[in-house]
Amino acid sequence: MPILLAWLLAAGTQASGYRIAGTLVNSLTRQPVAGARVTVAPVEHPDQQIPFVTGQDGRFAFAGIPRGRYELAAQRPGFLTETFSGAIVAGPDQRTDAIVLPISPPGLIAGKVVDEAGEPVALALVQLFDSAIVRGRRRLVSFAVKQTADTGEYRFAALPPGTYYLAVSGYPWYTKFNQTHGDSPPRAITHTGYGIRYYPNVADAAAAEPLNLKAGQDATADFTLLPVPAATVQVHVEGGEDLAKQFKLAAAGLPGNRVLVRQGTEAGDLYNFWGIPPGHYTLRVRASDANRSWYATDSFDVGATDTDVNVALLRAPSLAGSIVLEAGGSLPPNLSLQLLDTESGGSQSVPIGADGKFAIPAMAPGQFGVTLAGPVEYYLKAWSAEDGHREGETLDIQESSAVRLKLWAAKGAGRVNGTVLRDGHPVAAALVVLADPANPENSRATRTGSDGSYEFTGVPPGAYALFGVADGADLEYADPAAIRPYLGSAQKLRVSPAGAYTNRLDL
Amino acid sequence: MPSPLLALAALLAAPVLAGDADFCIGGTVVNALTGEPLARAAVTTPQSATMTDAAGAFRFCGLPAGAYYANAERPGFAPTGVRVTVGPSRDDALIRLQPLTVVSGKVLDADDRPLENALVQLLSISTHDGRRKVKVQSAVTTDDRGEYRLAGVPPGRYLLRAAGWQGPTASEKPPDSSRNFAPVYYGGAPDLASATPVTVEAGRDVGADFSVTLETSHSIHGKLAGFSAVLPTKIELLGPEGDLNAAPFTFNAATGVFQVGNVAPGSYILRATQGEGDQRLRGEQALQVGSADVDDVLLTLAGAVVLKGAVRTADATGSSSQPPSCAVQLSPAGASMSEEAAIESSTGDRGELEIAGLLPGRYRLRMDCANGYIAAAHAGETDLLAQDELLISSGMAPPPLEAVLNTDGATVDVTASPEAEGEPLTAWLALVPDSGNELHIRFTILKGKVSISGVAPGDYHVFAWTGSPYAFEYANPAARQAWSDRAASVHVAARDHQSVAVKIAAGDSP
Repeated sequence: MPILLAWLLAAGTQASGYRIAGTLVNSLTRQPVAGARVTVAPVEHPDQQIPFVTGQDGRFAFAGIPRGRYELAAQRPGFLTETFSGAIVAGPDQRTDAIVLPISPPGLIAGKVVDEAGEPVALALVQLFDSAIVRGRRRLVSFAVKQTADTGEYRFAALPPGTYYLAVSGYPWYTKFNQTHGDSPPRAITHTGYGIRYYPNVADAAAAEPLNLKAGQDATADFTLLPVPAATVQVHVEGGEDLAKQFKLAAAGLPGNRVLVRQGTEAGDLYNFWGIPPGHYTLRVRASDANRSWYATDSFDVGATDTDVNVALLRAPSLAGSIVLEAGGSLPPNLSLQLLDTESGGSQSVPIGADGKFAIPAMAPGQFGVTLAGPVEYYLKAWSAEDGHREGETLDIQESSAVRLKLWAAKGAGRVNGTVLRDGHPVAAALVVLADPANPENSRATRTGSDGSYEFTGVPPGAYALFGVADGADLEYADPAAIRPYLGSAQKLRVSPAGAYTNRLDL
Repeated sequence: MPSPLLALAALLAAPVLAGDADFCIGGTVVNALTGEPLARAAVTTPQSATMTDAAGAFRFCGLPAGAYYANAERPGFAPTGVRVTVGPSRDDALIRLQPLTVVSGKVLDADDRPLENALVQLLSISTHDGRRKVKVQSAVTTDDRGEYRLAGVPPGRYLLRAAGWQGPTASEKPPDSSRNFAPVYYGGAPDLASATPVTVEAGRDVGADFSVTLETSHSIHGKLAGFSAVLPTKIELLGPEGDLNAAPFTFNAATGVFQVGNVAPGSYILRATQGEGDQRLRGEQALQVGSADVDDVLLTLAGAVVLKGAVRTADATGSSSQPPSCAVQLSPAGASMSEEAAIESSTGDRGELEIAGLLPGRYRLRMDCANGYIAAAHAGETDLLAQDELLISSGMAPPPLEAVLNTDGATVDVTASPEAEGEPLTAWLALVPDSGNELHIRFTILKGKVSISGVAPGDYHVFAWTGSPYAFEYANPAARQAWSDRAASVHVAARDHQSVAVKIAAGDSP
């Protein structure tokens, strides 16, 4: 609160400050939306929000706004909460008082899962994947998982528009007799599973299609699970005697992602998955008490016969290390290590001490991207890992490992800014790409603000190609093949240590 | 078909040999309400399993002669078994499956807008030691349409309640997260005492909508004292009936500072628990949430205490008398939805008592002694014959429980006759003193007649009912009053031998 007040007071010292105003409209009907909470906050301080509740005319107005770049967001029950891409730039000669902000009603994907006889399949796992550009590549990210009701029905409500994929797994209810009756009843009862189905109700992952959901659309996706001969997977767990354990069995499915086939919780050391169709699977087990967690992972093939899998729970991995400045000298304050979980997309911030040391005593295993956050003039020059596998820019951390990380940072990151123009007029919300041809994974992108301006900070010295795209929402800017058409007209840029470059980009 | 000779051989052969396994069980699975055959039902015996065909028919073969339980199961129906004897084969087994019920409806706010993520609970009603016990049988949250669905509900009497809002979902963020509603039972009752049960009958789906009033909710802020920094911590908010409120909490194990969020106005008991089992630490405090946050709550945790004591025999004339042998039970008092289990113990060789694991709170005492009745029971100043509840205070060793056993009890022979011709003679029987004193209540099973010895002198009412042993709240004076016309009364004196006849009532609580 005090900080917010501070910048409001700062605004008051100016004659009047600037004005950000406009109308909130329903993206479908273009009708004004009343009773919504619209907020504006400086781009660098998203927590310093000023709220405004729209009236019947859907109008909002923020007066006395200091010069700067702002993030505008709107939320209202019955609509998706939206943060608008591209900053609103307040300043002299900026027209920021007639903004039309669209807010979208939520979309819905719902449907029914039935078996070969058309009867509902309860407790099927319906998984929704979101296909989106993440760090410059189109990736499938697990968005949500739902279990079907006794009617076989499921619903994913409150969905933003987007490109979705769906996968459904399940098992016939009667395979449970495997547990009480073992192998004596007919295998059609105890050893039947369902193959995974993908939208639009196909068995082959290669034939899966995206479901392109528009704002406010109600889409239906029904699935039919067909019985296939299956095996029982008996998991024996060593360690973690009385602890509740979470078991997750996943199969390879859509490109770059896994499909959850079964999940469960069990306190004992044995867990049986019935009705598992032949295929390659990954098992993950996690046990926790109040303070600690243990993990186990295993990959195996399941064939026509029952399979025994033995896993040992291992302690959570730890990570420790240090960072040094390449040129020597003392480290700046507020430097932190960012670990980006490649599967969940979540990130973890690890504070770095004044002595350059950092440590996480226990963490979940996984694959992580390694970056540095803090003062913009510092950048991560290189890193190496002991007892952790480095694959490209990804750090693979496994159960019970004690990863030692060594980071080299350098001062002198560059700054690249400018304006995107078309026919001499600024273009708002255009995509600007700073491509790193030597290391495409390090390519970066940003969107222009309302005045057509863009800025990259913390740019490591090196050779880059800089270009703008009017509607680049689908551009895989970290894929050399995808950006090749733009490189011909791109500006070649060599960023020197601590260099600052201003480039006008014409579309 | 096996020959009669083979069948005879199978009957005589013991143990059963593989070659004897020549019989079949065949039959049909039907919907008990409509009589329609049920396809794709699983029928199992302990040895095998099969599925019914389109005509609901099933058949097992290769069975040795003998009696089997054939159990049928299908989603949406209650599993049911029948006993079938083969040798010769049978093809007329009929398994009737009762359809389970779906209870569904909507939760709407005061403006008739659907409320997403509201918690709806189905509560089963039974009794424990003759008092009503309400348990959450299943719980679901409403979807984006405000709809909920509880499938597979067996027939019975239930309470249904909208218990609270579970917080905002993806489509509904902060503007409303400081709102919640007070629990409401189906029918509109605000509390358990005035709630009307819903009767669920097989195959008859129940629609039950709720209208709730969202109010500004508040937080409770405070600090724990006497806490451990390493034990797992649970902070709960309980309603007046011991029902858990699903309020989210945060706790800082370093400072003891806690916060419970999104609490609708109302009366609560704030409870903090650390650890498990006998090692638990517990603190409780009643508080009222009104129109503002509740600040500066100090909740002191204390460990479980041990209640010691002894039962001695009063009229021990000479050394021949047996030592007292009593089962003792302390159950949490007052809260019919409490999930806390009763604590049980029994007297030692010389009548000594030691009941461990008692957390602070109010308890009801039950004592059942093999060779007499409790003539006097005190815990410090508390006369437990005059007062049913025993208070265990926080962090203090409770005064010893001193009880006196009299062996001059009376014997009461009860004969029961069914209300209608042909009804079963097996029933549940409660012998309840008119004084209401719970230490003198006797509860037993009755098969035509039963003899109850060691009955304390006094005036009694005798109740008998069929069906569930939990159907009658015999320890509740109001329930006894409602059933007074079906009770028999008897007066007993010391060393008396009385006979009393009672009619067996159909076991539905009034």
